[in-house]
Amino acid sequence: MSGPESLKPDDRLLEEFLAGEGAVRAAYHETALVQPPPALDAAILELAASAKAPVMMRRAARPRWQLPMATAAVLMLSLGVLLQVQRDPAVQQQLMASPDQATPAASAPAEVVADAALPPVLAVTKPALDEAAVEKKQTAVAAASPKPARPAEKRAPASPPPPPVMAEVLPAAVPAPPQPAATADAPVAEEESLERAAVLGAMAQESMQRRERSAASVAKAQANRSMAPAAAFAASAEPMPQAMADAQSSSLLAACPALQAGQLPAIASETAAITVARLLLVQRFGAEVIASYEPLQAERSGAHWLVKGSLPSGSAGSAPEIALCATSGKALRIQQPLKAE
Amino acid sequence: MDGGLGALGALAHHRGMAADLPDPTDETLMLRYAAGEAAAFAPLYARHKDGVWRYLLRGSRNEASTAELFQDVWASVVKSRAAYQPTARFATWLYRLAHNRLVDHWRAARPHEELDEAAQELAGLEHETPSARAVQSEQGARLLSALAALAPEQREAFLLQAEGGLSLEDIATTQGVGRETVKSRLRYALVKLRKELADVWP
Repeated sequence: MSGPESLKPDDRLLEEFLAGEGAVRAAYHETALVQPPPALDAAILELAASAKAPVMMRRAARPRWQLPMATAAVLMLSLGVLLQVQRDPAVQQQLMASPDQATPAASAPAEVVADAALPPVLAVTKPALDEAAVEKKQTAVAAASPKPARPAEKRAPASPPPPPVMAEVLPAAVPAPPQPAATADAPVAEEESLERAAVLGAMAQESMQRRERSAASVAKAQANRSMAPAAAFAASAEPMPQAMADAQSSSLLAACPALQAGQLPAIASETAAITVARLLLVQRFGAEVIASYEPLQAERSGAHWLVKGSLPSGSAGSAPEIALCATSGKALRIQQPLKAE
Repeated sequence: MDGGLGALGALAHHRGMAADLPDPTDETLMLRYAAGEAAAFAPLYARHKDGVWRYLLRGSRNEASTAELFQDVWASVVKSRAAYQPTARFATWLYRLAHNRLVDHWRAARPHEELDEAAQELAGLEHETPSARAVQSEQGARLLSALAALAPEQREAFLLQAEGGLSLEDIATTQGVGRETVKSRLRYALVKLRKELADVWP
């Protein structure tokens, strides 16, 4: 019952047509002489020939060794950085140290500041740097300091990614002839970029934000340079102790060398430290803000003074804090106040 | 005109050269064209250009519109070549492009009327045009007259099978209906066309 004979006439007609047979199909074939105009053929063929190769095909033509080669290169570089970190005792010490001792300048929400235009220069604080390295950086920055500031876009290609702790120009604490200010991070950063990337890479984004804030504060600081409290720094002649055992961080110590024989300290007393700190904090955060954290309290820790504001009772957050180098009178680090609502 | 003759000559040359080798399938040619082999397009075009032209001509009636639609369809093939996947016959994909373009044409011509009504009115008598008269026999003209009188969906189902060789399933997918509906449409179309030819093929 399934053969063509069993089908209805309409169904048989359909089966014949679908099989390419039958009277209707034959008659329709007679109409197949109709064709598109030759000019249309030429236009379409030209269109097809002029079409560019698709992007997907160009991608497929890429050498296949690129991806494994890039992967291998990344692995080799990572291994090299890891070995370098392992061989460097200073970095190892940094990594093994407890969080509250390891990198106060880097882990705390603080900003290391320096005035590259004024000798001696403290351009940067770097965790676990030995003193020789710091002296080398200071020499390099000091040599560059009398030069006019270079445009940022000219420094950019030679500068590695910004370090987690950025140097920043702040108002001078010691009287100095007016000189063009220059950021001191570029030459130092070139030397330290690899170590920073290994140890402090996770903080790079935060440092970028700090750098932006620093740019604004630089302009403000330069405008207020004439107001620097020079007299307060020169008031005391008390010699500084040599011991650095109780320093909060090796980076601060490295940036603030011990007093040499015959050298007079810039900040010798607690009163002088509070006076200088108040002026700098007011310049940076405003008088009203700093007034809310009064009284300021100074504590000497080795070669530097740590001046903290008092957190208002009942409020959460953190008070402003500033580290001053007693030897040179420089501001080493400023921690901005944070008020938690 | 020279360009046209040159193109046709190239097609004829291709056909002659291909006589010794097994012809690549439509899908192979399309994939080669999509991969950047421009020469693969000419044989593909040669295989399908006449069928697509007749499908559009008998679906739109107007020869000028047919030229525009025809060019649009092949431009879509060129444009969509990178996305082409041989999951179905090339002809199915091609006639689906043509169907969609034809439906757009109908809607643009009569946007406020029912599609079937517009298509019914637009579907003209191809055999009445001078070019058609020159090449078609009396029998062919009668068949085309009967074809033009069919309901649009019946006529299109017939043309998709007769010109594109689409299966019932492919026609159903193209028209957005079920397979049995397509069978019914084709059956009605064939009965009417066969009746028109009853005096020739009783």
